[in-house]
Amino acid sequence: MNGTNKAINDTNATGTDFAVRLAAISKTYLWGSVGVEALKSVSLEIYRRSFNVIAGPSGSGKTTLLNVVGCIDSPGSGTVQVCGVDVLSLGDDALSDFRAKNIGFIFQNFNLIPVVSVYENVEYPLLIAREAKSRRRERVLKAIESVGIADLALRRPNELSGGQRQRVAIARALVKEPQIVLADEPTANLDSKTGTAIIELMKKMQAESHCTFIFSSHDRQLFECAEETFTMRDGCLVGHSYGDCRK
Amino acid sequence: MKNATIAIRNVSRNKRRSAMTILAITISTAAIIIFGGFIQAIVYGMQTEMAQGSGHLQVYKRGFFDYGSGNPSLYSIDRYEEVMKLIGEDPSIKDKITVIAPMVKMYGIAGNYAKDASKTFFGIGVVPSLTRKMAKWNDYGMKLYDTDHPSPMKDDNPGGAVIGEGLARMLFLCDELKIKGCPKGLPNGPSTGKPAEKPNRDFSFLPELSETDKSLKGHDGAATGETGPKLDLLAATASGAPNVVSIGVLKAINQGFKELDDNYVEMHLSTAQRLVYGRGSGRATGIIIQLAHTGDLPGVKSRLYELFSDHKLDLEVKDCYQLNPFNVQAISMFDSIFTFISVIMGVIVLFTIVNTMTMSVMERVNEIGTIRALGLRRAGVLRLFLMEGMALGVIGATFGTLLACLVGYAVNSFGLTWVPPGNSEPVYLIVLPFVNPLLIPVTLAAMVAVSALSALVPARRASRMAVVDALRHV
Repeated sequence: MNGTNKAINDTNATGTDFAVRLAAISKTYLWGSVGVEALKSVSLEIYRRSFNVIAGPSGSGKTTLLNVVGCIDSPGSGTVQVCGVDVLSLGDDALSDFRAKNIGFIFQNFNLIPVVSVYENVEYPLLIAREAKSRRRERVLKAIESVGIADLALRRPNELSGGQRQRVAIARALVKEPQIVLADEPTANLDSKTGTAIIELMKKMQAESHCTFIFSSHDRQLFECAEETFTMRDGCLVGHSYGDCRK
Repeated sequence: MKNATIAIRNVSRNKRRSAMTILAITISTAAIIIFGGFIQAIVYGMQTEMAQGSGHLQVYKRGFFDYGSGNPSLYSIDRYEEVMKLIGEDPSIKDKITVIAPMVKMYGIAGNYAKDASKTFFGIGVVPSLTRKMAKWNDYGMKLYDTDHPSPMKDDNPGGAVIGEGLARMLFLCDELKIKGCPKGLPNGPSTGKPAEKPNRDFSFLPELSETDKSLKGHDGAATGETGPKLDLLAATASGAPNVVSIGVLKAINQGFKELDDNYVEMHLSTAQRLVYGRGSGRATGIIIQLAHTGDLPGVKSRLYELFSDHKLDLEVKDCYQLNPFNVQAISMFDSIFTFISVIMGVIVLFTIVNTMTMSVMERVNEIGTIRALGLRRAGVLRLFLMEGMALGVIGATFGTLLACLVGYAVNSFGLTWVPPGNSEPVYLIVLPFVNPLLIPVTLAAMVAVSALSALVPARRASRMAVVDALRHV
C-alpha cells in the first residue's frame, strides 16, 4: 500500500500504461447549505487492461470516484486523465463524444431503456456513435452472444430477470469496445449466486476484450476476483492492494 | 432503430395520457379543418349567388355608381347593344364570358289602386331568358337547394313582373299572390271591408301607360290568370316628366333583406326602358357580365378597361365584390372567426403537450441520465423529446384530418340546410375541406409545429440536466 490517499503505481510505468490517472481530486457536494466532502484529495493510477475494484462502505465516495472517472462528474480540484486525455479541459459535447467512444457503464439498477428490446438496448451506444447498420448488427449479435442472452434479443427489459438485465447492461457496455468499463455496484441488486456469476462474466469479458474494468462494491467476496483493490472511506483512499489473480 | 422509433415507443409508454393528448390534438385539428371547410363552402356559396344574381362584372357609364340613382337617364349607356357586341366579340375574353345582359335600374312609386295603396320601389329591368341562364351558373359544382320559386318571367310577356314579398304585403297582395306568413287579422286593404270607391285611373295624359296596359288583361286592376294582379309603376323619365307603366305581378319572391324585399320590382327590360326612357329608346343603365370562372375576373376586368379606352367609351366596370360589399365583409368576418378558433385550438394543443411532455421528462429523469452517460449529446436528448412531441402532433393531426373528412362526408350526406344572413332560401350545410389546397396541409403542419414548440421547453429542461443528478434521481 502507498501513502494515505494515494495509490500511485510502479514509478517505471509511463503515462501511456495507465487508463486512469487522478491527482489530488476533491469533490464537495452541497447538502442544503452544508458542504459534504465526497472526495478528499484522492490520487490514484489504474493500469490499462486491468480488473479493479473500488471497495468501501456506503457513503465512502466510491460512486463519486467512478463518476469522475466516467466523465459524468467533475471534481472541485485536482486533475483527471482518462485514457491519456485531460478530460477536465473538454466541453460538454466533447465529453459526451469521449464517453460514447471510450467508456462503458454498468449501473446498479441496470438502467436499461424500457421501451426497446434487448437487441435495441445493446445497439443504442452504437447508434450514438453513428456506426453503420451492418456493423451494428454484427457487433450487437456478438455482444449478446458472448453474455449468453442471444435467445432473449427480442424481449423487453421488463420481461427479464435481474441477472438477465445485468447481462444486457454488460453487453451494452462492451458492445462499443470501450477502453474502460465502469460498474457501480453491479451486483447490489442481485442474489449472491447471480452476483458471483455476473462478476465472473465481467472478468471473462474483460479478459476477452482487454479493456480496463473498474467496479465498485462493498462485498468482500468479490474483491478476490480483482487484480487491484482501492479502498475508500469517508472520501479518502485508505487502501490499495493487489489481488491473487493479478497478471 | 432510429430516434423516431424510440420517440413513438415512448409515446405509447403511458397509453392513457398519450391517448388524451392525441385526442385533444385530433379534435382541434378536426375542428379547424371542418370549420375551414365550412367557411370555404360559404365563400363558394356567396360567390355562386353573386355570379347567378348580379354576374361577375357590371358595366356602367362612368359616375353611375355614385350619382346614377338620382338620374338614370343621364348616366345611361347609349347603344348598349353595340357595347355588348364589342365585349362579346373580343377574342381575348369572349370564351371566358357565359352571359352578357343589359339592365335598367330605377326608383319610383308602385301603386295598387284597387286597394288604394302605394309604395316606393327599386326596380330592375332584365331579359328573363338571360336571367334564367345566369341562374344556372355553378362552376364550383355546389349542391344547390332546389328552390320552389323559379322566376315565372318570360321574354314574350313584357308585362309580367316579380316583386318582393314585403312590397306585395304592403300593397295588400297577400291573398292574390298567396304569400305565406302574412299577418292575419290585419287590414287587407279596402277590399276586405266596405268596397272603396273606384279610383280615378285616367292616366291618359301620361305618354306610356296605355301601351303597356294593353298587354295586360283587366284594365281596372283586377288580377288575371296569366299576369296576376296589376300594379302601376310611376317613375321620372329622362326629361324629368312623370311616367307610368302597368305590370302584372306574376309572383312575389322573398329577397332576403327586408329593405330590398319591401322595395323590389323585377320587370321585363323593355317595360323598364319604356318607363325610364320612353318608347323606342335603346338605352340601358348597365350591362351584366357573367364569367365561366370567377378566377378570370381580374383579367377580364382589366381587358374591359383596355377595350373601353381603345374605343373611347366613358364606361366603368364594377366587380361582384364592389357590388356586394356585405358579402366581402361576411367573408372577412368568417376569416377572423376562423383565425380566432385556430389560435384557441393551437393554444389548447400547446398546453396539453407541454403538460404531457413535462410529465414525461419528470418520469424519465433517470433514463435521461443513462443515455447521456452512454454518450448522447444534449442536442440528442433535445431532439429525442422534440420528436416525441412531434410524434404526438403527427398522430393527432393525422387522426384529426381523417375525422374531419368523415364528419365532412357525413354532414354533406345528411342534406342539412340553413338560412344564411341575407338569404330568403335555405342553403345546404356543406363542408368543403379539399377545395382550398392549403387548408389540410397547413393545418397539419401548424399542429406539428405547435407540438414541437410545446415540447421545446420540457425537452430543453431534459437536455440540460446534470448527468450525475439525473442518474441519482429516483
